[in-house]
Amino acid sequence: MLARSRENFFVQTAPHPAYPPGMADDKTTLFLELLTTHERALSLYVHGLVPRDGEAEDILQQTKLLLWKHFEDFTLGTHFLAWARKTAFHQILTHRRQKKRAHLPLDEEALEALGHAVSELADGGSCRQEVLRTCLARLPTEHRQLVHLRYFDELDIDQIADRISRTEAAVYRALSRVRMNLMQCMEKQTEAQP
Amino acid sequence: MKQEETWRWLELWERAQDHALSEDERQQLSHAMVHRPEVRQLIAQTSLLTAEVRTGRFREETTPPLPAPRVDNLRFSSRLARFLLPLAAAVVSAGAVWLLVREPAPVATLTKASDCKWGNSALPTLEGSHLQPGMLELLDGIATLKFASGAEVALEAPVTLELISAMECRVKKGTVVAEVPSQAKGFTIHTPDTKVVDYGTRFGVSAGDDGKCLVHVIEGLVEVERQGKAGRQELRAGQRVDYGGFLHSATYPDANNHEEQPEPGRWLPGPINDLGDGWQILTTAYGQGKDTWIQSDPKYHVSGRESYVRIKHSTHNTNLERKAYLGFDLSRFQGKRIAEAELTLHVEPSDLGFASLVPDAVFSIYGLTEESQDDWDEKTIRWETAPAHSEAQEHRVAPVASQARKLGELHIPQGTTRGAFTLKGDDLTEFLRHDSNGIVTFIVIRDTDEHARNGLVHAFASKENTRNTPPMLKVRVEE
Repeated sequence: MLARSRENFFVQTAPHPAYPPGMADDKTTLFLELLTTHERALSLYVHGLVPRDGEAEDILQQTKLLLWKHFEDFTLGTHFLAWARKTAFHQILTHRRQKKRAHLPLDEEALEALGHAVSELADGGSCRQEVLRTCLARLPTEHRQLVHLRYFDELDIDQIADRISRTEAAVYRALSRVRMNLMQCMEKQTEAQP
Repeated sequence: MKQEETWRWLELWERAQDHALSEDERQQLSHAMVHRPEVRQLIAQTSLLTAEVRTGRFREETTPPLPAPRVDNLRFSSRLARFLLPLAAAVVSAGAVWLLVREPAPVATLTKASDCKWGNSALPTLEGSHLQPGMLELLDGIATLKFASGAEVALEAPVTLELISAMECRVKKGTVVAEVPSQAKGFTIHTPDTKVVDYGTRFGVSAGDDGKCLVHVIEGLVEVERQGKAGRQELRAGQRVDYGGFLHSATYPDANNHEEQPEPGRWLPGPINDLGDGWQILTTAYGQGKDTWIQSDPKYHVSGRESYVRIKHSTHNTNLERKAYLGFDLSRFQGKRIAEAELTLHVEPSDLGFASLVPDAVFSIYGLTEESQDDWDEKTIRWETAPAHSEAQEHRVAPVASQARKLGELHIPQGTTRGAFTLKGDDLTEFLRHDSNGIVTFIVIRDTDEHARNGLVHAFASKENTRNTPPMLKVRVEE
């Protein structure tokens, strides 16, 4: 289903029916510019609230579709990212309800609060990528490998526990330690930078 | 927030992502997220960080090679790129470029790594890691690689191996055992001067950095090519080829440097070491102490001056049984009561045989109760004349029951090349207490058999060892 709607997205995009011929290109360009500018922030927001990459990407794509579909409702000059995040948040809630199983076992109110907090933080710095790169490289090998297994191989905790011959509880603890290390490193690095 | 509390929230959050929270915990987390700004802030930080890690291009920073690319993401992005190009090429092209960059497919997977200690490896060393071409150095333990071709290679520490491709690797130094299924025929192992090509088989390769090389075929057929020698040599099951005298130098590692050692290495400066609280350490280097081994092959001559004692048990080749004899001088403790004791042996890399062919090993330690036999000499002790030993079949390995008593066991994991293994307990203490002539003898045997010929010979540091601690007895005496 989703794959098809993605197809449609590309087929339908230009010209958008809401705009007369001639106007369409401008509107499309504007949308793409806005989307490109804020894509990363939007992606962080969704990935921050949806722990599974696959689902996060689906939600992100649905959100982009919706943004395009309703772009005529967007008032130019207002905050595109805020609008996009709001749309994404509703997509997350819809997705949660459809799947019956919460992405994060949080009440809606709590999820929203977290969403706000993530947004505020994400609006902060843009040099975080490089800092994060440095911090990841500084992690002990085992920790880097854990990061890989968890976030790039997307293994379940029991699979990770199995692979490194530890208990699940130990893996959770180790992962929390990795997070803590990274956060502390990021803080230090950010302070250290001019 | 206190450190412990921070930890607790982080762990709860970690588990929340896997739905591993109890209902109670779930409510706590939800509540805190709304009503406790500091918790909300902490979780927001960590979840943003996770999102950044997941969506960033950090694979190379996390070292292990890459799993299959995320197809959904790519499909979407590349289509987006295609569609965008005429419209906003400049904006998107930067994003499209990275889509073209592909990591090479992994050459092998690290399928097993038990109790491993890794050296300066450029590759990931976590079990399950996918490996790209590069160098692995295993210091201790035994690890198994499965190459993409299907060939399996066991690394026996200490070993340095270079992964070249799914069909090729290079042993810089050390020992590997390869098991090659028929689909990977032609799998090749290089050593500094030798090339071993497999034809569906199981074989071992040992290499020294001086160019010496031993190839031993356990099953099947291999072809060996040696630099400076014309043609290829075929080797079948049970056959081996030894270039440069690998076995000889492994058997007599100290042969060349006897002259260079002005005096035998003694780990302890004094003959006995006082640890306080009544604890004292003595080694086989003290007083009348002695250590050596006996071997069932009558042609093999043990000098008693080797820097290790060697132990092996084999029902595949009954000429290669080896057991150790250790003598400690207790004269100093005469008249005092021994309250506690520990016996420690230090494992050394052996270079003889393949660790892959011997599972985790059990060693039994016996005390010689027949004290009249305590006066054995480490230079002249032989298989036929050793204490508590009989050539009768049932005593080939285990000592004669009426002359020795079992004091306990040591368990040494497969592939161990370093580390101290200690026996303690009432049986040991009791045995020492009953000494009446100032000398005690321990007999160490390996209960564990090898799977096939050419299994590992275990080695332990002796009193002649200059690098490692000799057999050591730690004793607490009451005045």
